[in-house]
Amino acid sequence: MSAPVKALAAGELFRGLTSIQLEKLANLAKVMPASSGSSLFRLGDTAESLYLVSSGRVALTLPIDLEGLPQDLTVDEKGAGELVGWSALVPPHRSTLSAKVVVDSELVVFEGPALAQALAADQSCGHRVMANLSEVVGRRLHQMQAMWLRELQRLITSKFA
Amino acid sequence: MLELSLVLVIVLMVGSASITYAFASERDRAQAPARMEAQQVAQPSHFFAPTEIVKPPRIPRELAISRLEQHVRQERAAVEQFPESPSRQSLRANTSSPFLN
Repeated sequence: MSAPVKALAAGELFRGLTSIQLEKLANLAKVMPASSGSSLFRLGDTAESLYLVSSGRVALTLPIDLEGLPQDLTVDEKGAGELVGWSALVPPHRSTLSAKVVVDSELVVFEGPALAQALAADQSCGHRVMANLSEVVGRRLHQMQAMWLRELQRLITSKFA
Repeated sequence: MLELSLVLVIVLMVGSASITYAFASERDRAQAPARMEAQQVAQPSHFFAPTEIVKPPRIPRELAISRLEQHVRQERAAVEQFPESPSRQSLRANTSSPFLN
């Protein structure tokens, strides 16, 4: 099993695929070393690429204003096997976070349109990948919803206690 | 004779009441400036000046960012199991986040 295939097999997006399906997808991917501090994409960018972290860590950040100055605040970090930039597969294909490499890392990179085309061509593979993607997106949505509710509850307590 | 005596008594009573009232008014007028001064002293010194805003002590920017990120990490950890087992408790549990404590 080649290095990209191993990385894909360990990734949350490609769980449950056969080795043949993994091989096909690995042919579309590029293994990319990324040095600490480099930016993968910025909030508002067109989401063109999807990244699977093979090793290292990538920070997802949101912009805040602190004392009138802009600042990127890390809201999540992704490590080996985790996915960054799924907006490349999901319309409207816009990045809603920024991503920055925290430590020297290795990433498996897919171009969004090429991956979408491959998934459409192999329906079994496409169904499995999109089911995995739904799980990833749904989980993040539910966690963000819970975090938002906790903040709302604190606001209610402070305003109406 | 009796009527004359009664008139005399009434005149005396009214006269003494008037004199007492006049004395009391004069004493109040004399004490009024002293009371006003006392009130002025008792008023807060910044009555007409802008109220002084007490700002919390300023913390360094890096420390503020670090606390915010720690807060986000703790909140993420608190809701980690929410998708598998959603509960009211996980939405209301307190936090030890330094940002809020």
